[in-house]
Amino acid sequence: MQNFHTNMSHITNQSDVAASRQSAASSAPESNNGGALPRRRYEVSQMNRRMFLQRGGVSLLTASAAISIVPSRLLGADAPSRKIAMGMIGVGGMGSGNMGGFLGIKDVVIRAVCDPNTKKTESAKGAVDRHYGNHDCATYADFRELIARDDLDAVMIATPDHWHATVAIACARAGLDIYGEKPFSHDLREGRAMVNAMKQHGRVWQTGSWQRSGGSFRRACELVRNGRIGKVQRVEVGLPGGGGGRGDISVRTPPPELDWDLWLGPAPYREFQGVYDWDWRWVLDWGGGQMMDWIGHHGDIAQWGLGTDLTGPVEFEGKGDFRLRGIFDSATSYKTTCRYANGVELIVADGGQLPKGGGARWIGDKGWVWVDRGGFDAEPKSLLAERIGAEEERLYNSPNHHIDFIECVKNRRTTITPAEVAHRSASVGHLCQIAMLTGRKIRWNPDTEEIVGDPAAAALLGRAPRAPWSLT
Amino acid sequence: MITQWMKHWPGPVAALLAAATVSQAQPAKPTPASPLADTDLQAIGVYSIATKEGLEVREKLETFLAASGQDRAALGDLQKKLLVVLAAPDTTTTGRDLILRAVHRMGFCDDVPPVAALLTDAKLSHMARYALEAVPDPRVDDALIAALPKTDGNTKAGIVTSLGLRRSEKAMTAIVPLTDSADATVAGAALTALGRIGTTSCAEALLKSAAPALEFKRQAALALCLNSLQGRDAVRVATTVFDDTKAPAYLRAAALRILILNDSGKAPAWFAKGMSDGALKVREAAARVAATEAPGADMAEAIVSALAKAGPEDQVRLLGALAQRRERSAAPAVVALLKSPDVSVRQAAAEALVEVGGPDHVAALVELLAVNETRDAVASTLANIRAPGTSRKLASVAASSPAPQRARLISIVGARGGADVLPELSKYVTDPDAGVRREAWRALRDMARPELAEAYLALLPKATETERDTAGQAVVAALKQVPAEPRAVALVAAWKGADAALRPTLATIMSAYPEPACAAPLISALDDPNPAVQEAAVRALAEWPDASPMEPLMAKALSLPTEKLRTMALRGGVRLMGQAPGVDPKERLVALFRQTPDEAGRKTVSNALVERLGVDAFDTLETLFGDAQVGASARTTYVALYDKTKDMSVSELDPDEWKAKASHASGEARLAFDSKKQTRWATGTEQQPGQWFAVDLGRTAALTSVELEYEASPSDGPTGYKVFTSMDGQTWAGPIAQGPGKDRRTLIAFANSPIARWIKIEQTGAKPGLFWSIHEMRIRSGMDPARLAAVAKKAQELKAAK
Repeated sequence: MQNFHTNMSHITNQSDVAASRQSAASSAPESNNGGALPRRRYEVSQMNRRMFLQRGGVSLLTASAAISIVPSRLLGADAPSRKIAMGMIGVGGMGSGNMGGFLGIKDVVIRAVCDPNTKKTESAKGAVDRHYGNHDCATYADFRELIARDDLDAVMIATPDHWHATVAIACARAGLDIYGEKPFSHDLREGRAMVNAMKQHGRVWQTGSWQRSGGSFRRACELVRNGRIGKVQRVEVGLPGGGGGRGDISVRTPPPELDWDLWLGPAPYREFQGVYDWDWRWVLDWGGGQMMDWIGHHGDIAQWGLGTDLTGPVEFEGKGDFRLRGIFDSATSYKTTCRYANGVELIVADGGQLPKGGGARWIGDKGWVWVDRGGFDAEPKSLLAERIGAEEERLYNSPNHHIDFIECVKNRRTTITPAEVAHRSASVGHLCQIAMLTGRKIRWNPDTEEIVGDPAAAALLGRAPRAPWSLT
Repeated sequence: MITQWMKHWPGPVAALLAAATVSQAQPAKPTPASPLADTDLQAIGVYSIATKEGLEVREKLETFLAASGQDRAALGDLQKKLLVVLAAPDTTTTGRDLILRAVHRMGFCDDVPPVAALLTDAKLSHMARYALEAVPDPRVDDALIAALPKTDGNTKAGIVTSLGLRRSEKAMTAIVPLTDSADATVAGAALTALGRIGTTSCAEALLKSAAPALEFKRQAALALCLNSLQGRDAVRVATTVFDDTKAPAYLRAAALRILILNDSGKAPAWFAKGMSDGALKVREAAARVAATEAPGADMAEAIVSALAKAGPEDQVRLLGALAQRRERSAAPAVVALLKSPDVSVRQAAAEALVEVGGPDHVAALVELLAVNETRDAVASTLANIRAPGTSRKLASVAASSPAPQRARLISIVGARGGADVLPELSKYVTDPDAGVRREAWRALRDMARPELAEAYLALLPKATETERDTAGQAVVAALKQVPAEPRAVALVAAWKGADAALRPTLATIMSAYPEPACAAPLISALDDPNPAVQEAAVRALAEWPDASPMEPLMAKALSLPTEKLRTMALRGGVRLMGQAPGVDPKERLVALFRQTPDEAGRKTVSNALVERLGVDAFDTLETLFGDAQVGASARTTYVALYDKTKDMSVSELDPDEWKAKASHASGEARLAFDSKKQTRWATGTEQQPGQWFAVDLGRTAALTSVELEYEASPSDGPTGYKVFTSMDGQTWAGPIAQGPGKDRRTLIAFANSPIARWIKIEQTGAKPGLFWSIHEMRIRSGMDPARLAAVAKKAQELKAAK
């Protein structure tokens, strides 16, 4: 046994561990390929990065969605360095996590952080300055000041959902590439505007749907795409339920470090009611509850496996429990049934209502595949050992979500989770939400992005932004 | 025999599908609707989230809205009542806010004026727009337009924004003058609204310059507007913008996109014009549009044509575009660039061939494998090229390649993973070159599948000594998904037909799949005259998962020819004792200690004794002090053991004295105890049973606990663990502890302070997608101070007596 274990390490699929690397990107020892053949596109990608840095060259990603464009700022005469200069917008829970990921990438320098909460900017600045051993990190409350800097290449956006579109579109217009958290948008109309802005301004967009950079998720999707479970009949997407907050609504004065009006931004005005950090997610003015928080993960993976990530279902029907919990009004339990044009059924529900709980499970006429964080199963079990050959359909292989973004910024490639894909995944959630809120079956045309025959439901596709904010 | 079971494999699927259908859980709680009473409407009028009544009435309202979704009449009736409350003078701002939210939820507004009246209210204008903006009713446009002269500042800007988002063409006349507003917020909103409305008239208005401070708004709006225009209007406006060399590059790039997509029949010409533009953003846009939005053979030809004229940087862009289009017809042009003087272009061409190349291009790529600058790119291209038939072509090209290149090509075939090349690969396991043979076996291992197991076992005798380990790994991998019974039958059959050279490999394979049927041939191999076979059998049996081979192993242990084998067998036997019901390891070891004819044997037994019993071994040895035959040996062992473990008070062992090795990333093992929490040792692959991490403590110690810490990778703890100890790092006793891993850190405590120099942690579970990582490892040693004092006293007495 011992000999085999000792010697077999190099045959494993490096990319299957990407999820693990999310947590320790900065310190994980890089695998030493020892000059051996790159066995997966992940390693191709790694190699490209190194070659780029060493030779100033550029290269392509050999994935289906790739395009290589020579990096403008990096190769231009005005390029200050070969590092990607970034600003962090929204440095709460997810934002500071992303910031840690970017700090760990040697080709990145973080120059500024922004949050309407000065405690957070100070904390983030401290982390950045400690990392670089200087005091250079600038702090801003208003993102417009950050993006007015002329020394940034890219931003990370991890604001509450209601800010995503406004900030992202402004950043795109300012010529910045964007790593944006999921859900992609707060409503569907915003999402389309964001996609258009990215396209119009030629920006690189990566969504924080990092499961795509996890090998087991890609592997599950490849099994489905290559017909290993036969003709897909149904997909079950299990997401968390619940979603209650800790906010004390009797508190009516914002803490001194918080600019409440700026925090609200384009959302409807309301007096401060004790809730802002984290628990904003359970308030529909600002977030979309558990379903919207997670639709960009398992819902996104479901679409990836089906190959529908540039379109979506055509019917949505479901029920949710929107009972109020003080200020919190998002659905705590929900189950929606969506149907694609080819008849495939997509169930989106809190995991308690599905046989496998959380994760994504594709069920075909020859078996099923299920994947979750830390879970992978299939029937027949022989699927667990299946390999996908080079002449079959292989999906974009990203080793690490943050690194994938940075490589794409440099090489002007399409990321593993570009804006259109993220928008389509979020759209599934938005339309499920509308179906639940209206209590009606929603018919959707994914080509024109219109709700068919129900103008009242269609009115819920967007929300008027509070002035002076707008989507452009 | 293995393939027979495959036919029945997918059986449970239908049952699972049925189960999944049945187990669809109940829908979310149904919410009974009850009409809102007058008192409820009054409560809505003074709604506040801070009051119990406020929360109750909002709950009631939300419930009614959700439950009445399909009842337009009921919703219309409610809306009518709510709008009366909205207009009532004593309704509070928060009450109105709640009503306007309800109107938004309904998605229609039967009576616009009460809502429109609030458009001019600075506090509620936004919520009025919130209710009305998406309602597809022309009266809403009229109301918004009518509110414009009555408002200013942000309120006016918000109304203009709503008109823009509604794409209200009738609002244009009112909006255009606002682009000259002295209020920059209003003027900016007006420009953006024109961009959104997106008619030709809007474009005409946006072509005129704005105030300098608002130029960027105008340009952005114009770019937005371009996307809405269709046909000749789009071409005319876009041409004007594109030809304006003073316009910012991004705007000209947006215009170029419109021209390529809309100027019928002229797309290739516009693309060519874009690619020859001086502005980088324009060239980028041309390549991007060609890559993703402009299909067709004429565009493909235009890209190929531009490729010939472009500089290296643009060539890289265009190669990317061809790759993204999967433009197979462009393959000859791409192949030609494999000889570009620019390394980036060569590299990009090689990578583009993944998408556009095929078997016909394999030979040209293989030639470049010898060139350092492109070797990696070419290798990855060959490993990933999509076209069917590529793997077979590679295997056939390998036949005529020199040995080192042949080996590389075979490894590439393995990386590609298509089982259809098995016949070709099989030929290379008898290649005259050892490197090729090794790569062939690695390739077979990489593409191992259960249905290939029988073929692999048949190939195994062809493996020479140099690649036998790799061949064994291939067989192990192929057998993984084969059910236990046919697997054991196949292995026993292979054993019977194997010669002495092959049997050690088969013994190792059997140890990976220790089925009961495999034990008998291994037990008989304990008497094999070939030492290698004997050792392989001992090694396999020593780690057997149940106690069945214990007796034969113990019986044979002290007569094996070398001390190494004796020790291995004895320790294996001791380990198996722990799993044998009714066997007291202490009694058996003491008996063995007595029976052993020489000091070497007793040393072996005493080592096993301390590994098994830990500090209790001192007490056991003490019981033998008076034994006439072995008393002296017991006393000597006692003192030696004490000397080895002098420092036995509880303390953390010094990691500076440690060395470590591991099943994976052994060279990085030290990162697990470098006193830096941010660094780690990690498997570098997802968790699978059998991964291990072993530490040489630098000295013998009585162990009390091991702590594995991985807070920086909190999900990377072991799924489960077993702990083994050893005095020499070769043969292992245990498991002395086992259990599930925990989040962030796992603390493993040992009940009887086992004495060892080596400690090994074996990972026992699978965790797809996650490494097993150790950021910091702490090992504590020691024993109870009172017991330590007694042992020390006794050891000193023995030394003095000596």
